[in-house]
Amino acid sequence: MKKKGLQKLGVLISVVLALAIVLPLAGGCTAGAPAPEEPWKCGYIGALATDVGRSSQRTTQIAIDEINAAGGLLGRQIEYVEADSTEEPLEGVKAYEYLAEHHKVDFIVSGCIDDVSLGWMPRLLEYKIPTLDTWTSAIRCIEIVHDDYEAGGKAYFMPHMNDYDQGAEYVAFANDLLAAEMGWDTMVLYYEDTAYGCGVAEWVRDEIGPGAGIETLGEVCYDIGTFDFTPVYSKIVAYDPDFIFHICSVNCVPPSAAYVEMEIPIPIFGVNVAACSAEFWDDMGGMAGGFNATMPPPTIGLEWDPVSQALIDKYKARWTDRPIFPHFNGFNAYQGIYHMVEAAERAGGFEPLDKWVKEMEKTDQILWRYGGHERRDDLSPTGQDIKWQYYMYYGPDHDYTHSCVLDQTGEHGRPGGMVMQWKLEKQDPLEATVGIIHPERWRNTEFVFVPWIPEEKRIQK
Amino acid sequence: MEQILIQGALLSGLYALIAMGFTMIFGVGRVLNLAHAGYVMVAGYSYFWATYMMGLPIVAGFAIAIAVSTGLAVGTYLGWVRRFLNDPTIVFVSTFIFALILEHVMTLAFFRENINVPPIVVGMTQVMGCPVSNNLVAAVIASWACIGAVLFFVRKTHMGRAMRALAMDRRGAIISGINPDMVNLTTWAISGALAGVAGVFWGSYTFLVPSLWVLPLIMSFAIVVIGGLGSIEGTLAAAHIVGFMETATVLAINDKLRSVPGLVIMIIVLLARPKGLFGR
Repeated sequence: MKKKGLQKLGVLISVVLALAIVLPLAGGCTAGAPAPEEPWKCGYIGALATDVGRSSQRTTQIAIDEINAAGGLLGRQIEYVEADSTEEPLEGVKAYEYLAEHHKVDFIVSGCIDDVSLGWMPRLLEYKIPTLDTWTSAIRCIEIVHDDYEAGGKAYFMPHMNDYDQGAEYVAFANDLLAAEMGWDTMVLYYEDTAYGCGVAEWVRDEIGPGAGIETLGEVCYDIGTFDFTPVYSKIVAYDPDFIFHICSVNCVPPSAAYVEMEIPIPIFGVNVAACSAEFWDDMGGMAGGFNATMPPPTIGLEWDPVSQALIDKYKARWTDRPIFPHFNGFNAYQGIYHMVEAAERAGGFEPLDKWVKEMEKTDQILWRYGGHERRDDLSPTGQDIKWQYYMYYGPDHDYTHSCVLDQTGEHGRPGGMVMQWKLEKQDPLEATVGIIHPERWRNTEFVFVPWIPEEKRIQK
Repeated sequence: MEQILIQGALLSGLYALIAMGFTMIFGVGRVLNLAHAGYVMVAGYSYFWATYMMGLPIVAGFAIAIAVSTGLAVGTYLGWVRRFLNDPTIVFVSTFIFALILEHVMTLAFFRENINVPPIVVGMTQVMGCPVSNNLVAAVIASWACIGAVLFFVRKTHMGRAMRALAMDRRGAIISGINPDMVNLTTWAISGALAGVAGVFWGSYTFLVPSLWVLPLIMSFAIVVIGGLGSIEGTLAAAHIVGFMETATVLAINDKLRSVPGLVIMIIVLLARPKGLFGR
């Protein structure tokens, strides 16, 4: 009886395996070159169980739905497919290959973290599929684009600032608030052991010292799997710096929570990606008050232009689970897809690649604070509308090829980031609030110390 | 040095609590329940859900966490393990899979983001010039209270003696009239309850993430192998060896090597004394 059952099971497994082999082949026979009426395929790649991944995953879907509702791209609809990269580089490579080979996508939108993007970059050079990378700012990605431009790197676009452009904001912040306003001159560089952490640390180490006259007393690099930060903070406190400069993009809640629970008596600044999430207050168990972070815009705490606000409204109407508000990469994905599609309309599609890339490099988009796509002085309380977001990609001759110039000065100059800070207490019983403390032109709240910082550490020198 | 002693003592107490339930099940049933660390993880989430998301008092949060982890342990035993007690390999593999399933369920419910459990006792205390988290001190006091209660139960109650009898000589215990099924069930329930307490404190000491169970599993495994599979005394001793070695490594060398000493000691013990320091 048992033997018969095993035989049946064997037959069943054989049939399933045979079907698994035959069906994709059958599909492959009919794939070929897409007929004109067939939809374009947009592949999304990202960690689908994380806020970062889901932010751009969702806004990608919103953008595609809007484009399809408006008639599609060159009269053809866009079909959305996705692949989960998780946060593992190897999974990212497999996901990228899956989109390229199984779905034969026409373009890809990525919400991958730095290390995952760096993992599939060689595949991008191989497949040469137009790819929009919305989260990572890794300068290494941009170096590949620049150095291997003709080999396929030109297919890659990063619709926000790269690490070095972000670094410009760190120096500006250190100059304006930490050195000039507070009079501080010593710090400890405290960073995660990732491509991003080490890359930005290098920039801060080399630039903040000479740029803002701040001496680095020591460096503490920690593993992102660290669960006990007691010894880490003990080392930092032993240096007795004026402030801590923290660089954290992955697993930021544990070091942040430890900072609060241990009541570290030294102010902390820097990059804290989790702190830029609307969920940070709850993820911290209600202990997020006073945390600040430097971030590329758009970020929470900022006032919105009408285009971004419309996106937020659609997002909130469609999804109620986390992330309740998209991360910055969600906005970048949404805008970036429009850049890709508009370039494809001008180029007659995504092929030939060169033609599409040339059109993409012409992207020059301004979002006005009050008017959105158009300048509307009549809607501004001051009678003058403000350039709120500026999207333009560096060309092949620039060192930062295809990363985005996000001009916030209104002068199309170097980009600027923002420093936001969580209010100490919830102003609204349901929603904690965030304000912008730097740069001055976007400031809508004053910097405050967390309560346990001793008076002597608050004194301006 | 003071910091190594203080932090090591505190960490060891927490480790002992986590490993205790793991070793009890092996001692009585001779099977390894790898899902035990999964119960620890789920208990941490249950406590967070109850206290932070639902706004319930801390005591209610503890009660819910313990109830959930105990329910999971009892359910695992009654629904699956009981029929495979004679095949430890099936239990070993299937409980590992069960832990993975728990991870995926928690990912669905809470996503793969890190969540901080607010400390049960806030603030820091200076002990011998070293900063010590009041929450960790509370965790260790609670851990030792639980360990003491388990030791009392095992040594002074009829059911506890039945557990020891079953652990020493299964056939003899059955001949003496002990119901092995009931003893096993009780052991799994106690183990689940310990996982509940451990989950709350481990979660508040570290943070919550669906993969939280992996580290406690590795660490528990190392501790029970070093101490001797099934030996409660061995578990207590090994927890302190691992805890102090870990703390010394992190403070004196590098935090990236945190888990290395425990694993190295485990290999040495396996080579020199395969039954563990207190194994029979």
